[in-house]
Amino acid sequence: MNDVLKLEGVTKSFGAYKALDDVSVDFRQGEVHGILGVNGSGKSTLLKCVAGYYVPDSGKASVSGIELPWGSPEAAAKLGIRFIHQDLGLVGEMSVIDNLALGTRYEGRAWVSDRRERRRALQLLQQVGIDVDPSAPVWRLTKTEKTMLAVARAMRNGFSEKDVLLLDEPTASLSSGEVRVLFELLRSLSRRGVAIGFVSHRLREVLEICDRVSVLRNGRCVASRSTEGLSERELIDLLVGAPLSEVYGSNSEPVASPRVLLEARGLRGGALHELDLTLHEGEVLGIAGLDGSGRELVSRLLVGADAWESGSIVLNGKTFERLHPDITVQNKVAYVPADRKSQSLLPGFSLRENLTLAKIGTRRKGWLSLRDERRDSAHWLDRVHVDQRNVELPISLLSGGNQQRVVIARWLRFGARVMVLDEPTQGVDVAGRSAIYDSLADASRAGTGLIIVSTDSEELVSVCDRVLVLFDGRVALDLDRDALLAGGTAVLDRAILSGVPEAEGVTGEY
Amino acid sequence: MRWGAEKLELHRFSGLYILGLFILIFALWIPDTFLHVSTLRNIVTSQSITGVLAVGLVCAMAAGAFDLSFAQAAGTGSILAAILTTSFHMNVVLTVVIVIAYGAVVGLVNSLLVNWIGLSSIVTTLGTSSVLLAIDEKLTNENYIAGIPRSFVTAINGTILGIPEVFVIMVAVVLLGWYLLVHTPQGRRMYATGHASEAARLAGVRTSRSILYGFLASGLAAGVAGVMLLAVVGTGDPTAGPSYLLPVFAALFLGSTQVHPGRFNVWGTVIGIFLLGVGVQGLQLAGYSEQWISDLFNGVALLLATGFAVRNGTLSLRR
Repeated sequence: MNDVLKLEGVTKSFGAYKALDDVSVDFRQGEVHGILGVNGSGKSTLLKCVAGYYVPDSGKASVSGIELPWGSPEAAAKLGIRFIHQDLGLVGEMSVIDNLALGTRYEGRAWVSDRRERRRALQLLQQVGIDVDPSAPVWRLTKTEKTMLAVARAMRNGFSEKDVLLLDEPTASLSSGEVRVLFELLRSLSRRGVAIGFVSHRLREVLEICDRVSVLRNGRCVASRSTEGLSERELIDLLVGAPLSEVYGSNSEPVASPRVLLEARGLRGGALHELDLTLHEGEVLGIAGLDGSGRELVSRLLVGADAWESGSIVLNGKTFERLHPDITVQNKVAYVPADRKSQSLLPGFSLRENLTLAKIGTRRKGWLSLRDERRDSAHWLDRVHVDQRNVELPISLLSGGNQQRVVIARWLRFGARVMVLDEPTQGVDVAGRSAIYDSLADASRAGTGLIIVSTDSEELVSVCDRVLVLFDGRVALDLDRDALLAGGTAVLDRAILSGVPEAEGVTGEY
Repeated sequence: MRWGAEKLELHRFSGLYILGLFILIFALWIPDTFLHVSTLRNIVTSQSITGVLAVGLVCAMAAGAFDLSFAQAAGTGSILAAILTTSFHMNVVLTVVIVIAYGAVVGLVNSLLVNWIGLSSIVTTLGTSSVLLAIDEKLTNENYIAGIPRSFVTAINGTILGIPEVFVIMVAVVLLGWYLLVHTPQGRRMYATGHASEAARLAGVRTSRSILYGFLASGLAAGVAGVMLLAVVGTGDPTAGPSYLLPVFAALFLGSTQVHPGRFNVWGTVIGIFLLGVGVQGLQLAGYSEQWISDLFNGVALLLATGFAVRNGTLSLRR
C-alpha cells in the first residue's frame, strides 16, 4: 500500500506547552487509520496542522510525494485532503442542498436550478447511503444523518485514490449503533482507495474498523501500529502509559453520614440515559466521561437549564419532576457554566453588577444603595483574591481566571448550598486555577456540596472526594478518594476510556 | 477609595455641554425671541409627552423588549380618552384611570405574545401597533374628535405654581423610572435580561418577568402620554401617535451615549430629549419652522451622537 499523506517530525508549541512533539504518522491508500489519545494528548492539534489551521513549529508533510505547505487550507484541499471538523460545519437553518454547496459550490454557476441541485444532492446522498429529503432543513436530520451529510459534502467532487479524508471526533455525539453506520461508510470509502484518518475515543469500535492506530500521549506519538492482535487492554496501556498494577480501593465507609443536599434519580435526557447521584454536605463530587458519554449534559440537567425526559431531582427534601434555573437558585443551588462569555457573565457590565446578580439588594428594602453594593462587592472580591479595587470596571477586562472567581464569588455571596460547576478552570492559567480551587475548598469546608464536571483528569483527581465516571450515558463507575489517591489519573483515564474497572481489587459498586 | 468616575466627565455628560452650547448660540443669534419665558415653557411642554414615552421605552429596551407599539398605543389612548370624555361624558379621574389601564393591557398583550408564544418583540409590537392603529381608525372613522370638555383640558394641561402640569407629570415619571431601573433589584434584573438573557436566566433571573415588566412600563407610559396628548392638542387626532416614534427612539439612543454609556438609561434619555427639544425650538424661532428641518435635525443629531460613541467604543449598537 502506498503512503498518501506522510507527516514527519511535526512539532507545535503553544507558549511553553508542547502540544505536539516530533510526531510522525503516515496515512495509506485504502486504509482506515485511527488516531487515539486522552484529552490534551494533541490529536486534534495534529489534524488542525494538516488542515492548515495551525502552522507547526517544525516538521514536514507531503501528499503522494508533493510537499504540503503549512498553514494553507486551500493547498490542503487542492492536494486532496478533506477535513470534517467535530461540529461538522453544517448550517442548521439551511437545506440539505444548500449545505452540500457550502464551502464548495452549486452545480450551476450563473443560475442555480433547483431541479439540477436536487438531482445532484440525491446522487450524493445515495453515495453515502442516507435517505433524506434534500430540501429539508438540516436541523431536522438525526445526528447520524448529519455526520453522513458532512461526509457527502467532503466527497462532493468525487474521490480518487490520492484523497485523504480526515475526521476529528466524528463519533463524539453518536451512540454505539450510530457509530457503526458511520464506520460502514468509512469502510466502503476506504475500499475505493481513499485514505481515512480519524480521531476517536471509542476504543472498541476503533479496534473493529481501523487497520492501524497511532496513539498520542502528551504530544508524542507512542505507537503507530497495525490493529491486528491488539487488545483493548493493550490499547489502554498505550493511551494511559504505565501499565497499572497497583491494587486500589479499600472501600472505607464514610465516617459519619452527612446530610444529602441533592439527589438525581434516573435522570434521562439526550445522550444521558440514566443518571443517579447523591451529593452530600461538604462533598466534592466529580463527573468524568468522554464526549458523548452524557457528561456534557449533566450540569445543565441538574440545574434545570435544559429539560430532561424522565427521572427526578430531589432538593431540600422536595422532589422535582422538572426544574428551571430560577427554582434551583431558590433552592440554593448555583450553576457555574463552562462557557463564561455567553452563559455566566454579563460581559459589558461591571464587576459589581456581575458579582451581585444572584442576590441583588442591600440593607434597606426598597432602595438599592450603590454605595453599599460597592462596599459589599469589594469585600467579596477580596474573599476570592481578585486583586482589583475598582468594582466599576467592566468584567470583560479581567483575565479568564479572575472572571471565573467573580462568578464563584457571586454564588458564595448568595450563600449557595450546592454548586454545580462545568469545566471550572477551562481557559484559566495555573495561578488562577489554584486560587479557584482555594475558593472552592473554602466553600466545601463550610458545608457546600460541589459537583465538578470536567474533562481534566488531573483536576478531578486532585480536588474530588469521589468521581463518577460516565460511559454510554450511564454511571459506569464510582471512584472514591482512596481509589483516586492510589491510582491517580491513570485509574481515572482508564475508567473514562473503557467504562470498566480493569485492575484487580477494585471495589466500586458496579 | 475612589469608585468609578461619578464626576462630570466630558464624555458621559457631553450632551449637557452641547445643550449649553445650543442655548448660547440661540441666545446670541435670536436673543429677543429665544431668551423668553414662553420659549422655555414651549420646550418643556412639547417635550413632556416625548419624555414620558421615552421613560417607558427605556424600561422596555433595558429588558431587551424592543417596543415599536408605544407611539400608536399613545395615539389610540388619546382617542380613547376623547371618546370617553365626549360620547360617554366621563369625568377626568375615571377617564385617566381607564386610559392608563388600557395602556397596561397593551403592555400585557405584548409580553404575553413574546413570553408565551415566543414571538420576537419587534414582530409582536409591529403587529400590535397595526392593530392599535386599526382600532384608532375604526373609532374615529379617521376624523378628528372635537368638543373635548374644557374641564379635561385644564385639569391636565394647566399649570401648578406657574409650572406646566405636563412637565410635572414628566418629572414624576422620570423619577419613578430612574428609581425602578437603578434603585430596585428588579431594575437590575431587567438590565441583565436585556444584556445577556441566557446568563441572567442561568443565574436565577426570571427573564420572562423582566420582559413583562418592560412592556408593562412602556404600555403604562403610553396610557399616561395618551391622556397628556389629548389635553395638549385639545382635539382627538387619529394621526397623532406615530409622530412620536422617531423622536422618542432618537432621544433613547442619544441617551444611551450619555450618563451610563452603552446602556439605555433614564437621565441620558432626558438629556437627549432636551437637546433635541432646544435645537428644534431654537431653529423654529429663528425662522426655520418647516417640519422637514426638525426632522433633519433629529436625524442628524442621532447619527452624529451614536456614530461618535460607536467609533470611540463607548457604545456598541453595531450588528
